Amino acid sequence: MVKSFGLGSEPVGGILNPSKKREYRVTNRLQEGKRPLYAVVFNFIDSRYFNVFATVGGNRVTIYHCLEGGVIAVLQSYVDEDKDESFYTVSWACNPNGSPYVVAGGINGIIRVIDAGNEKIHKSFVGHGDSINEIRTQTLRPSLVISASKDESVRLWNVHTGVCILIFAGAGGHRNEVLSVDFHPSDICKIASCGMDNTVKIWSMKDFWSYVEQSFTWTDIPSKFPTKYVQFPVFNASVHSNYVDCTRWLGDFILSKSVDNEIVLWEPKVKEQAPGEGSVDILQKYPVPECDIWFIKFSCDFHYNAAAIGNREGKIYVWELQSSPPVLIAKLSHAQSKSPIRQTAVSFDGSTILSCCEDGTIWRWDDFSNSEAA
Amino acid sequence: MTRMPGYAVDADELCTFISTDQQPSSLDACAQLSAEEKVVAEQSLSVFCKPVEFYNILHHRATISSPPFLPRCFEYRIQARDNNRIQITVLLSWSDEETQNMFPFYVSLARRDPNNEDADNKKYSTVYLLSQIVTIRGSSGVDGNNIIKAEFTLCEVNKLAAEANSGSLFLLFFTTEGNSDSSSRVNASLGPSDPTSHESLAEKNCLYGKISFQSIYLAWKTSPNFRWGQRAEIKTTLDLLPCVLKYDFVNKGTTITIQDLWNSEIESTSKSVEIKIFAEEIEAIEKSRNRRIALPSSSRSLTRVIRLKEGNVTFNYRYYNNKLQRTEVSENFSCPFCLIKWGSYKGLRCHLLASHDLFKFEFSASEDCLAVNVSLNFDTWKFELVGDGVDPKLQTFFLHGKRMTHISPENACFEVVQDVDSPALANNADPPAIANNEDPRVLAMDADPLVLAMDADPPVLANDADPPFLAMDADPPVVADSPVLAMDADSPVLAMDANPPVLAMDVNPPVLAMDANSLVLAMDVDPQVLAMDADSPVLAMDADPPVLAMDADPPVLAMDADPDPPVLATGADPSVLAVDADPLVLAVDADPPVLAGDADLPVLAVDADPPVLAVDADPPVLGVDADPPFLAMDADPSVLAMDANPQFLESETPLGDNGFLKKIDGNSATISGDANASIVPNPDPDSVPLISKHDHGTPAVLRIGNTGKLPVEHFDPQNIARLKKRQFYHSHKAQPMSLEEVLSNYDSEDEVDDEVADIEERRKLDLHPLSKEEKRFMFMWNSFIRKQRVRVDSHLRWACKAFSVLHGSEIVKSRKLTWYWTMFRIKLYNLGLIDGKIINDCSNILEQHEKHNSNPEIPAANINSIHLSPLKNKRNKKITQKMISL
Repeated sequence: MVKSFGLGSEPVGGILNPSKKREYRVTNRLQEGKRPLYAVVFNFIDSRYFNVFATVGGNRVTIYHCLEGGVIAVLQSYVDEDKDESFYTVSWACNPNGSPYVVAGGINGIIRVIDAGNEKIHKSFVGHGDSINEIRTQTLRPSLVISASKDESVRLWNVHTGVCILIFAGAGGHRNEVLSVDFHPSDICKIASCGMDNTVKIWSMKDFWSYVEQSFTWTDIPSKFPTKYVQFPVFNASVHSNYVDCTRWLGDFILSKSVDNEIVLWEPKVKEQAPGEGSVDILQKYPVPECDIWFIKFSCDFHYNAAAIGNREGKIYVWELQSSPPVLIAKLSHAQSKSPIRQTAVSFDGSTILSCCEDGTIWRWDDFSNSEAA
Repeated sequence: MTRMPGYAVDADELCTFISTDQQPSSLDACAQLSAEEKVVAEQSLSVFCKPVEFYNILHHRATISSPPFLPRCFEYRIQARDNNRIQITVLLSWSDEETQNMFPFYVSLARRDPNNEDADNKKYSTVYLLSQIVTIRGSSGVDGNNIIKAEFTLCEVNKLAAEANSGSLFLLFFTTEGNSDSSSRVNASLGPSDPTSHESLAEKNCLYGKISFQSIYLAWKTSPNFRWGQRAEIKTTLDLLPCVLKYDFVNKGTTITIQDLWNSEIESTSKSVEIKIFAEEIEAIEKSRNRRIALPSSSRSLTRVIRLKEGNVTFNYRYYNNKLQRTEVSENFSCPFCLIKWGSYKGLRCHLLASHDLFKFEFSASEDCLAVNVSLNFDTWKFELVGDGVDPKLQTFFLHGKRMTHISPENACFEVVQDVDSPALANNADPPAIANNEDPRVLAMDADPLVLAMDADPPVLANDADPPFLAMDADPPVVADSPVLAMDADSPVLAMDANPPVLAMDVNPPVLAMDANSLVLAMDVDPQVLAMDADSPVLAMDADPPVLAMDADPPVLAMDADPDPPVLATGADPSVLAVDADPLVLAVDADPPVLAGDADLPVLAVDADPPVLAVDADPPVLGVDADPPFLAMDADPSVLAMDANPQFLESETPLGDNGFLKKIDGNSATISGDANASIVPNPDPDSVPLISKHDHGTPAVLRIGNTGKLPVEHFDPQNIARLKKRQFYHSHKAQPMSLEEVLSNYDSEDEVDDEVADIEERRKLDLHPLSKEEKRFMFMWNSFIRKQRVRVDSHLRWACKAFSVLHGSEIVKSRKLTWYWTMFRIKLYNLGLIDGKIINDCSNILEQHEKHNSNPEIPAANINSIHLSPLKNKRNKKITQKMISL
């Protein structure tokens, strides 16, 4: 456990005065159903579908098209046959020939891989022993998805062959539910995971990469694949003192949030000689008022320029990530948006922000600062 | 410690104790302890209380109800009686110039002869029987005062009283006045009580005086001191009167006749002598003597004296984890617990060991100290002391110690155990149990139905035998010479060392026969039959469940063994014949030929030296280490043979040439290797052929099981249907398993994942600042040790050689690796884990690898065969010897 902070300098905290760099207005509001929506995500995997997003709530997965002028069109909707299923997370992936997949998981612990191109279910991954809290896709190899589960494990899957390649759990693994997981944007072997044990762990699959490669050519039945356990992370950080419910890589830095009304940007200083040890340097803090319940996730645009996060009261804070001190781009609020926002989605260029709320609504915010100037 | 009879001894007065143990500190050390520790120490001392109390109760019972028999036999009684004897010291003193005439002077105990009393009375002569004659030749007096001292030992007071009151016992004093001749002759003799010295007193004129014990005793009785065991003193005056003393040769000089003389001539010579008589019990004398010695010195030496005294034994009670001790001294070799006096230290020792096993005793006898270290024997008294809530009375035990005459079985009654030499314990026997003429002990527990054992000399052990058990005429003591018949025994039957034939019929549960010399016949045996070390042929017919025969010397014949489970024959020297064996037949270490006919299920033969013949074997046949040719005919499924040195012949198989065959999977191709090569080319690079005396139980055996997959078809269709009904999930991956995976015998759920372990091993090594070669070597060794499951020291001998074989070619390529391996072996040698021979063997292996590297024509496999299978090498020698003799 690493507690040593700072290299002489205090973390820089952002100021909550909106810089009004951008001006977002509500352009659409959609009531999808009565059940809470837990995830909304744009498809950043395939440039053809950058304006397509998916939401999950209850036993339903819905795919929308974000059109000009605030129009949202429903493309597809999938309903799990189990009424008790409650999807918590969704991610985009694709198979080698480019057909988009929607990968969703939830309370049942079964990962549904939907072939959105052919409008059918492609595969169902059984293996997790409890509900799935987050699924992320490796953008460099979009066949690889990783799932974080309540069963304290993180699993790496190959959606193409349906193989469970690695299980990140065991002696050095998480000691409670894993709430969030993310692939390193450039180092294909690195992942970060965080969870209810208040830690953020960085794992390396460098030594196991041969198995990952093997999974692409696996032709036998998936259960025969030599699934390996990765028991020891390369880094183990206690940045937060409560549940860590969202983590994203920002280059080699890590953005993570707990229930402390802020997002923290910090640098893991991994000691090559001693895996699992190292120090943490907290760089910046992005305050988010009224964001003290868990399972609120932030999202970034494709280039990680901005991060949007909702709060308990239905407001959205958009932070400029890569400036120091952090600049609050905008604070989005609407009189009718009062329900907790579970997740937001920022479009490729940050011009559109979507939010999905506990009350089952989807809000679309569009950036008007450029258009007005034009 | 309520009733310890000894003197408590100060702790600093510990006698030096010869003991290898750490000497516990004394109570002085106790003073240095903190208050808390003192409490703990006291508590630990109190554990002595329970056993001491226990022995006190025993002692109490023994003394009140029936005195123990044994102590009566012992010497201590005599000694105690001796201690009660009275020693009297007689001091005579007179002031006279006629000293010359008085010596030699005799003092003796005399009893008037009861036979001659009446006859001699008239003549004024009396016949005395003498004992303890003390002869005094000179006095120790000063200035003309003569003092004579004589000591006598008398019997104890109570006995003495009877004789004294009869008036026939006297102290007799006499002197042969003025007879220098005789005195000189007397002088020649030594020893005051030697009767032969009185030969000279044939008939002489003497002076004599006597004191009746009657008067002495009366004086004692009135003396308060004596009654309390102290010294009594009597002063009186004795007149010495002239007499004629006749000596009687016939009675060996112990009889004298004294005739009083009353003439004036002699009267003048009469003398009066002052006599002092001191009397005391011997015990008291000794005590007082010790007291006297102790007086001048401090109490410190007193205790030493106490200890020094004969019969004093120091008892050191150890407590508080042997750190402290309390010391007591008991007298007369008496036991501190039951107060019985034992004649000697040895006796005490025997008694303590025999009677007080709640304690542990350490005996140490040195010149000046007899000591016993006492500590609690926790092992024993845990069992001896009955726990709370358990009423010992409810725990019934029967002990039959009598030998009774033989009673014919007809007369035997229910619940009668007859003719049992050793103790028999019958517990909870609901139905009647009859045991006849059983010399050794019979133990029957929980036997519901009738148990009848007749003439069974050796021990019969029946445990939980529900159905009836009949054993007849099992004569010999340890070995069962006569036949043993067991019929319809539903529960397990155990027969060991049965020399004559053993017949078991209709035995439902497993039958276990060990060391059966003669023929063993088992018919209609439903459950498992296990025969070990059976010399004579073993015949098993219609055995439904598996039949297991181990080390069976004569041929073993198994016919029509229907049942599903495997038949296992281990170490069968003569031929093993299995006909029509449906289930798996497993033969291990079978020296003579093994013949298996019509075996539907797989047959596994391990270490079979002579030819193995398998006819019509439908399922796969697995033969491991088969030296002589292996013949398999009509083998439908795959045949797996490992380590088959000689020719391997398989008919109706495409590969008919003499080759070494191995098939890993039933469906996969057949690999044929060199016939000479004894090593199986194994796909796992790290696996080593594990054929050595050390590898029993090491993973190689398991690995064979892992690779020897059973085809799905061989499962019972019912079982398959059952397995099909539900979905199985892998215990590690939690992934659904296919039916094929479920039915395959492959265990993918091993706890140790070797590949991951390797990765982690490498990562661990990366943390250390080591050179690349060092890491490489450490990784090679560590992963080798882990994969081969080298767990114990003795495995290392094999491991070193196998490691050399496996990694030799790589090691010899690098000078550094060679160096590391050498250093490591030396380290192992220094730790005593391997010996010089192993080091040498490893070097030889490396040498051959080197040769092989420089000249690839030398087959590397030879290296392995030479060094890795010592057992097989021996056998090879045997075979070659045989061939020579042929």
